[in-house]
Amino acid sequence: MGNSGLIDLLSRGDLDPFCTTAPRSGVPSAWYGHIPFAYWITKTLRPHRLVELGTHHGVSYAAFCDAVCRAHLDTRCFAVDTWQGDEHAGTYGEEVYKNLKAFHDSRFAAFSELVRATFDQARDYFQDGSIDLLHIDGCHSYDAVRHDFDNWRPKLSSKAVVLLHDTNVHERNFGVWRLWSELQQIYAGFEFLHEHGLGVVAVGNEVPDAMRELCNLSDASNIARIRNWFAFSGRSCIIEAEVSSLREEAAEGHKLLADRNAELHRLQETEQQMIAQLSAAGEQIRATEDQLQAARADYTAQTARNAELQRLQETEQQMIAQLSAAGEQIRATEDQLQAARADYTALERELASSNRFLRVLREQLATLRRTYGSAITEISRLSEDNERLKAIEDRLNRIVNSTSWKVTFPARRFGENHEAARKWVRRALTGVWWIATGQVFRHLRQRRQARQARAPTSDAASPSLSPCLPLLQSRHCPAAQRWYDKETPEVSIIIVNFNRSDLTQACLESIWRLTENVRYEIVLLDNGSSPNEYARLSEIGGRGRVIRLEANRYFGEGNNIAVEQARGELVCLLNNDTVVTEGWLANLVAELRADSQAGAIGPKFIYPDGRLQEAGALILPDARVRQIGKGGNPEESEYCVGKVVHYISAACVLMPRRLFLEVGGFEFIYEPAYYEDADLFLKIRESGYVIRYCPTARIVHHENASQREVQGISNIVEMNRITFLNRWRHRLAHPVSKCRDLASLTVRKTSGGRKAIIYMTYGLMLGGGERFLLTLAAHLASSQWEVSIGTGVAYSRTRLLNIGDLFGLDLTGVSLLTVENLDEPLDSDLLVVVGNEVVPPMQVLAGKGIYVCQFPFPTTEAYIRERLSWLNAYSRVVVYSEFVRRNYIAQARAYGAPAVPVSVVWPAVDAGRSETSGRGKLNRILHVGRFFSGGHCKRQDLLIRAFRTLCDSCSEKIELHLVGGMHIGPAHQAYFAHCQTLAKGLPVCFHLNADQSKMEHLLETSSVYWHGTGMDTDEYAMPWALEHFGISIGEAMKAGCIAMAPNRGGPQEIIDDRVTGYLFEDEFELVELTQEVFERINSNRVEEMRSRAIAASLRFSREQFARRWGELINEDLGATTTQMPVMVNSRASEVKSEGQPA
Amino acid sequence: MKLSGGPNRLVEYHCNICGCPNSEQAGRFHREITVCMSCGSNPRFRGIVHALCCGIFNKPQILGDVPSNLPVTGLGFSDSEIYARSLHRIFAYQNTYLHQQPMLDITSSISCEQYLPVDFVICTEVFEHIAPPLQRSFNNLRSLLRPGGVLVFSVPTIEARETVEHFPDYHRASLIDLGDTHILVNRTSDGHVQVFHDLLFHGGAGEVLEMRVFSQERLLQHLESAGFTDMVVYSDSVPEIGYYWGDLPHRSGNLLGYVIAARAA
Repeated sequence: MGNSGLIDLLSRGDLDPFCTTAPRSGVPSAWYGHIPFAYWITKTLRPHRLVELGTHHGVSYAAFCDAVCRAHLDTRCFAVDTWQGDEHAGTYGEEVYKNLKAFHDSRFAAFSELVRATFDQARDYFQDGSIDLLHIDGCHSYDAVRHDFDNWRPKLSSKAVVLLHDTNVHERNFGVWRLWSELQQIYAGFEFLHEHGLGVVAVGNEVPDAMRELCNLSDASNIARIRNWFAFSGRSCIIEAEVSSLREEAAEGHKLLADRNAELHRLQETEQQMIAQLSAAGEQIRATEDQLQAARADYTAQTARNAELQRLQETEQQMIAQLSAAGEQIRATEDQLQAARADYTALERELASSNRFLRVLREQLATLRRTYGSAITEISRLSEDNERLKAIEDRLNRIVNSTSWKVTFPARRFGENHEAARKWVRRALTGVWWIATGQVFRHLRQRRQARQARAPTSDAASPSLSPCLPLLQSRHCPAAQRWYDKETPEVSIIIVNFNRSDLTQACLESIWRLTENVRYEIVLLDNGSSPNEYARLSEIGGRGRVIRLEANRYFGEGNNIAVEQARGELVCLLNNDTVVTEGWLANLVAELRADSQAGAIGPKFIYPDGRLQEAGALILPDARVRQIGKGGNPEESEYCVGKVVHYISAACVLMPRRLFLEVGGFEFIYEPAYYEDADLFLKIRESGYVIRYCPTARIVHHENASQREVQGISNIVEMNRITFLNRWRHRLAHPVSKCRDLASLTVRKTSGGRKAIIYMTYGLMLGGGERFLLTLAAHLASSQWEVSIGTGVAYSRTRLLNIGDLFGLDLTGVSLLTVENLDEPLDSDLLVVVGNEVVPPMQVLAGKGIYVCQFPFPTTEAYIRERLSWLNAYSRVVVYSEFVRRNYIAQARAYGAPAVPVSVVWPAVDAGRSETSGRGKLNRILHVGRFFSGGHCKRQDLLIRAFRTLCDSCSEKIELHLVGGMHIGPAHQAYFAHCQTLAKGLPVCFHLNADQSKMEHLLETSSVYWHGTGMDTDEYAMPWALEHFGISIGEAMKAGCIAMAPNRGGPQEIIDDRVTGYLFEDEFELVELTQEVFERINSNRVEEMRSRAIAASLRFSREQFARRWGELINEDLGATTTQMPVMVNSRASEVKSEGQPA
Repeated sequence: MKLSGGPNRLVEYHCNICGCPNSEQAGRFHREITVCMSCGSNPRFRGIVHALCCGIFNKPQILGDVPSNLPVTGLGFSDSEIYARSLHRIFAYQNTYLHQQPMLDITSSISCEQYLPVDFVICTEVFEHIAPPLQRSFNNLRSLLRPGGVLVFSVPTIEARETVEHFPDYHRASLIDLGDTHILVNRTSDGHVQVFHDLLFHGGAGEVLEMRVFSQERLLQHLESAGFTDMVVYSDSVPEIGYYWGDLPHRSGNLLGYVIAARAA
């Protein structure tokens, strides 16, 4: 056999220069000396698959992998190890694997893997005959290495070579040498003796020539030359590795040196400072030797104490005894503190008593001042009147004595006797005056302008709206528009526009062009856009029906109004910042009809740049939404399959119109926007339907194009998330289907009854005033009155019924009326108007009027003077409490208002609330009131502050639950956020817009009720900032809560202090009273107070409310007008109306 | 847990989280240590997933085979990322934590009210660490689920009539680090001061304090009182997914620690 090729090769030293450099160094290994051979064999054998059993720090494996890289081979490499150690390598920690993995993955991850497994487990991953180079370097006992060789033998290929490390180790339990000697009997091979020995076994029959040459060497000198050559080359590697290691150590040394130099520098600076300080201290020491002596004495005493402390720490029992003693001391101190608090409380009460006396004096003084002021005003007005009378008398005398008067006497006499001639002369004179003063031209101009403004509203769909049909030239896409069917559409496409006519135009044009195979109509609702924007919208050609609202009613309410006007069996809500694609609507309709369980269906939403925006969505447990596939590839198979989802963006969704209305459409509590759609879909799911995603319908959607400019939008999203969470947390836990009867959308007609209009000055909102008026409306409607709720802007009937549901009122017999012109007489027998000033906001031009004044808030004198005379036409003013009545009368007198009777009607406590005793009550404080700043703010901020004090002082774990709606506007949002910040770290829970069942649950489980309106308020300077009545206090009492409210304003009429609840002066007293209640929460005293509170709350029942209104209306309109409804609550009917003030 | 074939039996199983085949000798199975070679799951994790799939799909499933984004909601309490990653892909699932967002403290009803009622809750190795009163936290657990929702639960349990409370008068307590050891100083509700040594922590010294070892019987009573029904105790091994472990010695007795599934009434 010729071996000159290999020997020559090695003689020339024809190895790559890199082969003497270890790619992985700085770790201990006996393999550095074999690295040149690793390069040589890898390059020579060109293995397809290389496996190393036992990798540890990876010195050998890194060399194999590096050789693969440098030789540009297509080898797949695998390192198998548990990286936990064995009896020879010893056990080691996880950091070995982590370090190797970090080194490996950054260099070789493309073709190599670290397999963390035992050799036997990993064996199954490899096919038989697949491994060309196997390096065995695991456990080195004979049994183990024999097992590994035999076990892996079937996996070796026909050109396989096996490397065995440690063939030259004959100590401890090493047995590789024994296997090597056995294998030599079977296979050709070559052994290197340096660095613990490395055996090379040519197992395959088809190894390359150079390998065969090496393994068949027989000449001793050649064998020695090769061993020496590789040993010498390997030595370079070892030295290189050592140098590398030394370099690292040197680098660390340098770093350490630098650190120490820096430390030294710092120490030197410190030394200088200390020297300076010592110098100064020395001066002081010399100057104050006596003090030093004293300090030494202290030091000695301190040392003694330290020794004592050390002894205490050594003995555990002593420590426990000391802790116990400390506990006793703490208790004693607490007792002292308690006693001190009691003293302080007594003093506080004395002070409060003095304050009350002072307040009485102040009140008397204020009354005297007001009386004095009124008297002065009256005198002044009388003198002015006298002067005016005198002037008129003088003028009259001059006219009577004038020549012209005397001359025209016969003509006047003729006029008195001839009526027709008198009228003709008067008209002629009036005409001359109109022309002469130019009034006629001004009047004509105004009429022309009014006609122009009303022009788009000619085809009225509803008298309360301003609908029109201006879009109607057929120049746009005549072919596609053949599916437009305004009479019998299958689908009504609802589009809401607000100041984005450009987007709306693009949307409409895509619909007209691409909607086929479905009969459709378009209902375009303009949500109070600016006149210019509306003009641009009107100029768009094409088919569609437009409804114009005078003000922005927001997305949800806009859609509710439009859906109520729609004619299709199905409605498709479509955002105006979308563009539809071919077949969109037909596919949606087909998919919806194919699944009888589908309640709503939505398309695949695509961004304008082609990315996927949403393929359906899921609602996560914290009420955030996950849009499926957002930002992904819309063609991915996962997004091309229709499926059931939680939610579809309301930017485009198709559903039966009937279902939309039955579940109550969009809820107004989410205004201005966000989460109303998620809420709608949960209502649909609650009704037993599913929401589907339809991938064959595609919509291009800009997303949020119309919301980007909304102020404080991120706050709104977060607040609506809380609202949504609170609403559905309870509802999903106690599921009940709440479908509305479609018939309720049509007003239940009454015949022969009288007509009443209740005008909601501040719109259809969720406030106490609105609740008061709607309760009245419900009662009148159930008493055969024909009742309309009048508002300045249009509202949906869905909204009215939803508010009724929240208040527990049946409003199906109540209709809506949009009052566009307050100066025109309304067709009614009774007009009830609510306002916040001493004068009403509108006139009574027909029938009788009752003005409900919530409180005479301060306003400009001009405003009041302008409307004072309007009061004349009202038969009565109704207020909520004696407190409001006193303030109203005082202000009315001050302004010299006409004398109109002022009556008190207490608002009604919800009849649906259950009456509970202490059973089921938790350590829970409840507060109910909207979150808003200014006015008669509910002062949740002060309550949270008091609650923090309570938590610090009370050993019981108590929760505070704050329930209420939110006013729209940045200032109110900021106030809410401020309250959230104050509550951080405390067990405080915010419930925004809780529904009736949630409210009932909270009332039933709360022990104490807190009311905050009027806290920290000067009742004389700002009486309007006090609670006018406090209906939620009555509700809480009815539910058996111990109610606590400021000792000012309306609450004084509800709570009998320390009998049915508590009236407090300040935060301190509130905390103290609450602590007392919780300390005796199960005592008879507290239970008795609960019972008395429940009984007292019946004074505010709906029966009492209805009876009182019945009396007033009968008095004003005559006894035959109405019979108020008979009430069902037998307990309530036993209560006499004597509690209600007359 | 029973398994035929003795400690030398080679148990071949497919991990029900990643689907990888594994094998291990029966005698080497441990509740927390015997890991899947691919994903690192231990028998407890696989038991949790098994119970969850049986509760949600009414049959065992390999999570890797389940399609994504199903309309099913779920919550976890510091679940291991080994299976939480898959749950997040498949369901509308959120993993919660005590000291980072999204937060959830099971002892606080207000904290629980920050989440909608969900279809499933996984609560594994949590209740042995929480402060009393226990029943309140079990009630809170129930409140996290919609009616019919699935609870998958596990804690260290022993066969005993009563739960072993390490600090029976726990009221207001502080854990004090003394350098080489920790002590717990407790002030009882009637004002007495107690000092406890020899504390047992999970996850390393000073990490999570073990407050109790549950009696299996009492645990089921707590769940029932909170409003759970259809309770299933996975006390039998499921060798095909590698849900098995042998004896688990503990200072309070031999631990059972089975996975339990229940439904909210």
